[in-house]
Amino acid sequence: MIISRKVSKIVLFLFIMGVFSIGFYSCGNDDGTNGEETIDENIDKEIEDHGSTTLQFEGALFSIPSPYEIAFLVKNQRIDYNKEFLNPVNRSHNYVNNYKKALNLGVYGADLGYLNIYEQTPDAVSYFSAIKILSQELDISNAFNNETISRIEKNMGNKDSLLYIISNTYREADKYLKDNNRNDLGVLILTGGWLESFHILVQIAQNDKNPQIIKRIGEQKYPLENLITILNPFYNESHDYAKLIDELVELAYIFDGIDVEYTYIKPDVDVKNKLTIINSTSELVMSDEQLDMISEKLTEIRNNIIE
Amino acid sequence: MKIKNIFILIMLIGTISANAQVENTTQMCAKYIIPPFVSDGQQYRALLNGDEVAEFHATFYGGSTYRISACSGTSEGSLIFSVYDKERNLIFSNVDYQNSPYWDFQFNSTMECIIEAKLEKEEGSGFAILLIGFKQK
Repeated sequence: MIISRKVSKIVLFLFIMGVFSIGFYSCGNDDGTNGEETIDENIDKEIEDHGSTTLQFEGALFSIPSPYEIAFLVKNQRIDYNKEFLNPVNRSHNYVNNYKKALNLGVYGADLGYLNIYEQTPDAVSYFSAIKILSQELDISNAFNNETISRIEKNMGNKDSLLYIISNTYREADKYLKDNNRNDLGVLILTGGWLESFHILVQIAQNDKNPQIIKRIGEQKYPLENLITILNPFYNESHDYAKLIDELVELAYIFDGIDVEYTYIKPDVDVKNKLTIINSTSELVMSDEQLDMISEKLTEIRNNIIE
Repeated sequence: MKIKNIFILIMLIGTISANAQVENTTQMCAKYIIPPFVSDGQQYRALLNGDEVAEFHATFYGGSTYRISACSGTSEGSLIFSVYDKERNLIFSNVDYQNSPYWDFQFNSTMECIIEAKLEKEEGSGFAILLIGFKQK
């Protein structure tokens, strides 16, 4: 009993110390010596306990370009808005498990970016509502909090502000999921967003042989490889994950046939503007047959996600 | 109360504290991803110990300009980052520019790049946080 009380006191002391160290740090310790040491000790502890996992998973990171970049390219090519490209918002109620919810949170995020860039405010409001519900159901409360939701709603008519806020919100969601060891969902959101923006490109290419669009389709070879690498650790998570990865690998096989000729050219630097101009070139050759095969496979994968 | 519980509590405190560090470092990094730059919606992080090097693989589209913001700890300039092409030709290193916490890159062609990040001081440990934004056109 006495021992138990002593242990309780130790725990209480450690807890108070911990709260103090967190509070001290959170208040902003810029010069931080003592605070930093405490944090370093905690991080050392983290490394000891979880370090290998963290480093294995995060040591080599693979990024996926923002779906909004694709939407900008499409708009800049003066291609007309087409609602048919998007996943109908009324399907959002069909997604009952976290796997489908996370994928379609990514899909709807890409769709919202497309709607926003084309300034389709009424539809953007509907898509945002679907995103809000899916994020609540996935319990990504930190990112999609009331303040953020209110900011998004207030800026619905302001294309530039909205894009900035939504992108930051998705980044917060990504961070929140990483903080809480829920990367299994984070990778699905990324996958959904990438697939949807890719789908928009492919739909355009079927009606309009715009060389810039076709080139961008061929360039999806790189993010696809990165995406497979990001998803691979979750292969055994469930049958759904395994099926998705297998399908993406099949898509990657088609891309393997696309030749890329890379030439390194020394970059130029504009120090005053903190800018490096990358002059290296990358030429890509893709046949119509390869484009058709990519379109077909992509449609099959997307249908499995949004149905 | 058992020893196991104490251990769990210490682990919990450590995790919360590490998350607090990530949060502060991310905020420091995020102040450079502002309009006209739009976040790519991801946060890249790696826990580094001593002279460990983190590798980030990224695709950059031709015709676009990107900003890479890289931070660690509580002060700017604590993280060294270098950008290589897929053939490992060095394109940029912030070491040449007083460990600048951000830099812009204009790509003429779409490229796969490798970004390496390591702590400025080889002693100690910390999170390397990297954010990427693309320039709105």
